[in-house]
Amino acid sequence: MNKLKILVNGIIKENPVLVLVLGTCPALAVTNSTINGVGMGLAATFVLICSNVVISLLKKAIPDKVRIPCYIVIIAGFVTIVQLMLQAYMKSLYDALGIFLSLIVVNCVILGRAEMFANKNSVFDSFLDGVGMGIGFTLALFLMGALREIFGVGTFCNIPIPGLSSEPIAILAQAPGGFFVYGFIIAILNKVSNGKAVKRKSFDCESCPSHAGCSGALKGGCGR
Amino acid sequence: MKAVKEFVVPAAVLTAICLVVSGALAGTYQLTEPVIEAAKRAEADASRVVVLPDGKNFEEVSASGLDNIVDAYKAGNGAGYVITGKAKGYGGDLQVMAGISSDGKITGVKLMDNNETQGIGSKTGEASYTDQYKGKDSTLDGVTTISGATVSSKAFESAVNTIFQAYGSLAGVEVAGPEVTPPETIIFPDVTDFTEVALDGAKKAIKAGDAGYVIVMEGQGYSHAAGPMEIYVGVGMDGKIAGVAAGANSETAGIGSQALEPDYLKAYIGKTSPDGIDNISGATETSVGVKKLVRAAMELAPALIGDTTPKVDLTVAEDGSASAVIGAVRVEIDAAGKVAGVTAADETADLASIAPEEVKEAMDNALAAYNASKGA
Repeated sequence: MNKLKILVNGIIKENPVLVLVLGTCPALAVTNSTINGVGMGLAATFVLICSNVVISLLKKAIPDKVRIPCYIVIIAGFVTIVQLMLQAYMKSLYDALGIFLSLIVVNCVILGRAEMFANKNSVFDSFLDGVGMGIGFTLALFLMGALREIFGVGTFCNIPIPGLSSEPIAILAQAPGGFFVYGFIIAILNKVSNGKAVKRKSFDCESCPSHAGCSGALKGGCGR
Repeated sequence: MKAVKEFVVPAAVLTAICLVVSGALAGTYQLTEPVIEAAKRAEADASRVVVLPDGKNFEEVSASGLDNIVDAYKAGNGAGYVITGKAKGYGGDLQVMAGISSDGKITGVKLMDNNETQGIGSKTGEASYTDQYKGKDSTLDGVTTISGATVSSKAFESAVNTIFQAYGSLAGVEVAGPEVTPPETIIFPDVTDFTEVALDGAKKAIKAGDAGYVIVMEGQGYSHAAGPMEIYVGVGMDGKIAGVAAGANSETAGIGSQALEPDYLKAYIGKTSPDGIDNISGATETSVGVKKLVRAAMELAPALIGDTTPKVDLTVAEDGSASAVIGAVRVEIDAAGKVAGVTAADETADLASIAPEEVKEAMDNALAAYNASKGA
């Protein structure tokens, strides 16, 4: 696979948040301001790159049976390191991200890339995938955070925007606003790409993450 | 061999990964722990720096055993103390945090937890009020009260006072209280030579120059007060009350304390007993307590000033009528025990030249003496 393609893949074509619809929990929860969104994106990117590289390195050593616990332990290790670092050097971001920082451990993007990419590809490719996916995740969170902050609070990176800061649409900065903005962005993305983005992700039984272990799959699909 | 591959290897790999990750975490923790600790400390200090700008590395010091003190912190760099004290305000306890520099001056005060009325008592939290405390020493000389928010302002001031007392005991320095006029001076403002004299039954007795004596009594006021109250009763040489003033007490501020205010206590001046003095509604227990102490003091008074009962020269005729001479007044009493006439004792003098009160008192005393003689 073309190295550049791996890198760019995560940014647009397979954007984890907007196309693969992974990691939506932090994407909705912490994007009430631009800085929080970018901070969360960068923290997750760091963990994603590190875990991708380490899991790719250990892909031969990790027995298939215990791969998920091994991934979790590795990811949790990196998350805790990020947490301690943020607490020590970026206290305000640490306070803003709160519980979602430790929840990076169970972020689907990271575990998903470990399972889908890192354990099948070379170390360098995995690194590039981590960088690409990380940038894609961060961009998506930046976009959501910026939109919600600009229209919901009337500021951008805490700088007031004339005209908007006096009468902001306050609900956009609240939890429901996260869903609104998220839905709008996905809808626009699909419109722009003529529905290609949605086709990329097939919703049939084969592509379900639980396909292998699902009893419904043996009968030909869920609920049959 | 199959068992080893199936069970031992996965377990060993997982364990190894766990060990390595734990090691990495321990390393990171070692690295970041001092920074995190310092940041936490700085955050906690930030609130205290507001009142003690030069303070750093605050350490909590034990404030147990100090009344009305919430907590106390000492600046690690020796800049002073930050103490939070409380006092009863208008809407319950009011907490004040004050920074006191090492030279015993206030560097800043801040209103903390309180339930003062929004817009009235809450004004004590505004800079226009709190700034006047800056640079003041323990006498709090010149601190003004917010008009309309007297109770809150007084509570604030009293909390700052409490904080100074705590500062004194924590820093081990002598702290002068606010300038208070001693009760005996309130009663006899013109007297300067007060000497203590012995008096059985009283807590203390003070001779106020030639003007009279001050008898200090101690007793209960409000039944739920933390301690007894001290009442200073001033007795003039004529045996009348020259004034009553409150000493140390724990009466409820704003309620029982009303019965200890000079405005109320001035009603005692000129009397010989608490009879006929109204209680303060809502502060009945304190008012009654004051009365009891005044009565007790007046019973002790003759021991100091001698018997001031006026000398009555009573002559009883055989038919039961009598004539009594008290000072400059002669009172004629008929057989039924009624006053039959009053004249000046000196036949050449005019009764009108004698003060009416003196005449009335003479009549009362004459009747009392007459009745006493009949009873005897």
